[in-house]
Amino acid sequence: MGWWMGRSSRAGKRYRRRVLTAITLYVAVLFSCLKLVKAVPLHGIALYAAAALPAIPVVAVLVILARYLQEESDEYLRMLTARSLLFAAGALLATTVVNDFLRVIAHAGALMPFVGFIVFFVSFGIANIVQDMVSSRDSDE
Amino acid sequence: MNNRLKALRAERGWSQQLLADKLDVSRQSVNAIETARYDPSLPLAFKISRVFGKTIEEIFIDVVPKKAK
Repeated sequence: MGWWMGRSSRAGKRYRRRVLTAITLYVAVLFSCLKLVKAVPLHGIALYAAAALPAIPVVAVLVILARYLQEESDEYLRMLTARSLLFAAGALLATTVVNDFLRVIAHAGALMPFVGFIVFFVSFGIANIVQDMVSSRDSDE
Repeated sequence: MNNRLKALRAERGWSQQLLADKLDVSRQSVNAIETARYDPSLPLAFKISRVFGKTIEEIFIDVVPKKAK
């Protein structure tokens, strides 16, 4: 199960616990903000603040990933995660740069909201799955 | 880099998990090193040599690429 929620080391378990907390917070903050914006007519800075609040737990997941890399004492697992993050960053940059050229040259529309977020985390997950499959190959257990 | 990790482990009747516990790394790490998919850092190579009571050169085999003629 290492592919989506961290690896089985001590640092991986801490990472898993922190990500679950951040996801729970994200769901709670998102629904609270949506309710608030519907119930109270917010304007200006207050509306911007309410709209930006759900992004905080998402950004926190990136910080949690960075902390995992710092805390992971197993150099091989650290390398696998760093490699997956590089793949995800590459996929995200490739997606945005292709869309930028499509917009500038072909007058195509901008990407839908949250596409960057989805591309990054789906690519990260895929990279982890592939690496875990390769890692468990030739194992004697 | 090739190595004799699997043979040395087999001589002692150790599982990958047991060796991983002795080295304080994951079983995946031991598997990756054994199959030469990952070259360990110098500190980990020294740890491996201590666990087996051998020198690094007795465990890891440096493969020198042949020069193109």
